[in-house]
Amino acid sequence: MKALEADQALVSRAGTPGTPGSPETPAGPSRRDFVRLTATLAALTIGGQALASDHGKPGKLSPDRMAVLVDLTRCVGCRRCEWACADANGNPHGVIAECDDQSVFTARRNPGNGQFCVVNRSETVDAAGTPVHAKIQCMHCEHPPCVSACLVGAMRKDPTGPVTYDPSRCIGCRYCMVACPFERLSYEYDRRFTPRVRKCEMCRHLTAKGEVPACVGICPVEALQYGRREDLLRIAHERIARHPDTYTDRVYGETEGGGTSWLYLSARPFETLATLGFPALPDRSPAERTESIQHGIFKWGAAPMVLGALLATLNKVTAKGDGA
Amino acid sequence: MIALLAVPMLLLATGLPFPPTAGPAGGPTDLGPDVLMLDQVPGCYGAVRFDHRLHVGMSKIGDGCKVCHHTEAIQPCRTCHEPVTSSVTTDWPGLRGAYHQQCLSCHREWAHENACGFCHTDPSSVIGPQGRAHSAFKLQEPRATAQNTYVYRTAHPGMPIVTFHHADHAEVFGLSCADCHGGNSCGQCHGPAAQRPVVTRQDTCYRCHSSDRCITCHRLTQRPRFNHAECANWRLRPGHDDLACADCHGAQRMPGRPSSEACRSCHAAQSGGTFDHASTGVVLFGDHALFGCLDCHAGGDDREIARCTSCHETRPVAGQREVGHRALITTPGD
Amino acid sequence: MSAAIAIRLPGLDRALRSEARPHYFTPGVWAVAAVAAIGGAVWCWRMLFGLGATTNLTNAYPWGIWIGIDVATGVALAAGGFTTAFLAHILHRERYHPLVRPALLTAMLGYTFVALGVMTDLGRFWAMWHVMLPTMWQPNSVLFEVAICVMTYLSVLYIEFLPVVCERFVGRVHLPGRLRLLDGPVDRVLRFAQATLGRFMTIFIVAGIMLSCMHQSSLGTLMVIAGGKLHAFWQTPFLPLLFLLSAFSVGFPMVIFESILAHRSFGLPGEGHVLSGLAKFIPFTLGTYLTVKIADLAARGVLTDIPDGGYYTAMLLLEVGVGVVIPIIIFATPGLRARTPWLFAGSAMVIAGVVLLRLNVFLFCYSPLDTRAVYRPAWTEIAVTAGFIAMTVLLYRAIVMILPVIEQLNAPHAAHRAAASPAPNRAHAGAGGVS
Repeated sequence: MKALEADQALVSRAGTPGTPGSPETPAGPSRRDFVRLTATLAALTIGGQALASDHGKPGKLSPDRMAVLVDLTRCVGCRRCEWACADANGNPHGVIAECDDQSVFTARRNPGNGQFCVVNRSETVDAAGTPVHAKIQCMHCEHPPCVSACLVGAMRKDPTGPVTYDPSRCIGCRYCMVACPFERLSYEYDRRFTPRVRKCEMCRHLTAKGEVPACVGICPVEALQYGRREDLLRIAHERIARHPDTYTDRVYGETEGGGTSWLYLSARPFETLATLGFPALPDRSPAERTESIQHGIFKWGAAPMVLGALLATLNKVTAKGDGA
Repeated sequence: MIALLAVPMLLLATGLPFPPTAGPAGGPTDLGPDVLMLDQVPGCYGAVRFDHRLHVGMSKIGDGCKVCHHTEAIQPCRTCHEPVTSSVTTDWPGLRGAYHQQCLSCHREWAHENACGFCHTDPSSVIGPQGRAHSAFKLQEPRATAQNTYVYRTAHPGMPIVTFHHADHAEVFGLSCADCHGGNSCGQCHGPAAQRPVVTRQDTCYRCHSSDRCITCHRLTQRPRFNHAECANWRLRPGHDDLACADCHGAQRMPGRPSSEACRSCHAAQSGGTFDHASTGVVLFGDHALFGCLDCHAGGDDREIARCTSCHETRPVAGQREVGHRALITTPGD
Repeated sequence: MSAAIAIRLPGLDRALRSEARPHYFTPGVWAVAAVAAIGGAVWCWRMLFGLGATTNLTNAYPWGIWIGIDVATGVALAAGGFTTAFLAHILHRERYHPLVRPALLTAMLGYTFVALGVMTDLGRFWAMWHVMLPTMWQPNSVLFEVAICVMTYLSVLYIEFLPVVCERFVGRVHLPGRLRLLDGPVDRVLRFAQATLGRFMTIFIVAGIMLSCMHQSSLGTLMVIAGGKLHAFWQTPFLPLLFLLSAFSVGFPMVIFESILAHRSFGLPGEGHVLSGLAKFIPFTLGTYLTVKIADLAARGVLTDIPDGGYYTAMLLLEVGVGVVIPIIIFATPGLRARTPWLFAGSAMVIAGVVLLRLNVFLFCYSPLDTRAVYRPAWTEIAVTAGFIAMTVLLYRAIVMILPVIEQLNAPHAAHRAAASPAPNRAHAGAGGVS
């Protein structure tokens, strides 16, 4: 009995009509209460959706969005792109001649805080004894999981191609890094209060001036090509068709992970290059899946509302049963 | 021939860079300029001194001039490739891309060399050992190596073993690398990780062996290396061992019986222009003077030389074979 | 010593003075307090010197135990709050009412430390308020939904708990020192809350359950975006459903586990019959979870990978075997669930299973593309996590000694409560004449 009383404070008015201690409470939750609850939730959900920033919503990409085509058969591993990248992004770098140091190839490297793109070399060589060199950086996905993941819209897919990062919005949850299917994001763990996510932004400060990204500009073999994604895809497929013996018949990034802005051509099948930065990915972005789950469940707040109505009804029904 | 060589020789002597625009789009025998200065590409690296003649030599193992110039019509790179890449969305490399793609496709494969300083040796360029002399000849290292003998086990049920003596073909038969390996890339033969070059029968072996019988190559057991006595059934007499095949057999690809002229080209010299068989102590009489050397000296064995019995029967036997036009005669002198 | 405590915890002084009530500090509690103190110190270190100085997080492992344990597991283990509320308030199973307040308190403390854990893990914790700024909202983000739900639910939990505070302090507000001047206003606020909250409490309870369902499931959706980095045994679009069902399943075991621990700790007679009643429900929730889990594995065709999965198979079998199958047997057997040791063991197993599920998904079976990457939590990370857990225990102990949460523990208040709480307008008219 004490147990019952102890809880009256919690539910006295609403839930337990007829129980001793709350004789004057009205029966069950009033209809008004329920309407109020529903209205509040609906307003919150719809209002929230209306107010929220529209970052990351797919289907808003420009048909003229830019991309980069990388021909791995041309890349010789000179690492000038790394130098140019560091130079263009204000990252520390030595003199350009230091790029000739091939010893860095002994260990696989990932893009990091001071180096947004890196070139790796395959352990295996082809029939002519030549290894594959591959420059890797943020792939600038068409439907980027990092953008979908970011709860404050710090990651943004620019309609013109690049995936950009705005530290002034970021709260540092690093969910973008969990979401990145290529694992290309880097975090400044060592900055005490203002750590940032570091990534390639496709040199948007240069492209805004009509220049090409720094890595594309410096590539001596023109293994990198900057242009409209549509054009580059066409060029890539034409190149494969022209040299079917040279290239494996696939443009990596055309569909991988829902498509990326960085496209790769290779002589070797990409399946053999997984550890070089070409993971096997489904043709749909993982963001598509979470977004369809998320928006499926919370479309117009329908599911929570139904659940709420169900709970309120249950409450009322069982309360009557108790009261009887 | 001398005239053809004279132009490059002259240029080499004067050391004048041959401007690419002046490069003659002449006949296929034209070797083009000796040295080019590649200085039309703007950028942080200086001009590159390109030894064209050296590369012409190397191209012979491949498709010739086409290796770099794409087509038989020889034009300077600049004719088609713009010094500054103008369009970002065409599949047409600019001059810088064209140079680097072309040069590095071999340099990288052959010497696994992709340091910029290898070609950008100009003292004014940003990198590279200062004032380093052009040392493209170093590219000959690492040398191509091959086993002397390769033994293949084929699916041929009767005679499964094919023995290929690389050393015989390269050293004894006098074939050049390009004769068989013309289609191979540099790196397939040279380089630390050199792979076994790909040679197909259709392209190579059959070029000489097309009319041979199977047993020429397919055996039950491994074949020994070339031995003139066994393989040609003609033991070389002392003094002949060091001769090249062509010295006796001429330029024939699959040698047959050497002509008497081939013998006389040496043996006549010993007797002042014409070979006098009498100088050997044996006087040829009658029709014998009309025979070719090998008609009598078949087999290369001293004891087999001029065996009268090969033509002349000792006694007439009924049903004895008649050989050609030769008369059935009794042994002279006996 | 006890005087010092008394100053910090108003009400505890009385508890300590009362001979009938247990002392706050026992040797065990001192040990927990030490863990909490170390955790607090390390927490300050992290806040001052950053993540790099205190964690072993890398680009390949951006989330460590602060998210895996403090947040993901913390939220799951706080599920006792909404499941018990559902049973007692929505379904009006009145016999379970004694369990509601401890569960509510656990949820409240749990979520408080979830929020603190999130804050600790955020690289730019000072920008945390961005989440509340509609111009920053990015509704595609699962984390956005989780964050909003957790924040809202935390507020709802505080509101749900407020009547407990009112009950204890209305008419008895005695603030120390100069703050005495505020006694009157505070009392009036409490009275107002007591008077108004009751009318809306059902709304808050319903909202609390809704919010719980939303973010408990979304916590699963969170890792769906990790794609192939999460092993196929766990990577499924049904992960939200599995997380929700596992939260349903762990709610009651958590309440049972806590109740047994708390009652033993305070030397109170157990609530055996109520607990075994609660345990009856567990096989149904666990069974549903298990069915969905197996159906999901089968539908995706990875069931056949179980025999040769190595490490992942071991983790899956441990998670499902210990955490689901054995507890179903225990709780479905009347003879076993009637006995406290079995109740305790079964509950502990369910909890372990859910903890393992969360950790498998967030840490153990999350493999970065960079196969060289390893994550072993730094001692500082462990210290903070342990400190948070210790703080939860300490606060729980303190609060149940001050506020009427566990009913046997609050016998002296019972009479007062019976008179005061049901009809605030009337009962407190005269009692609150402090001002």
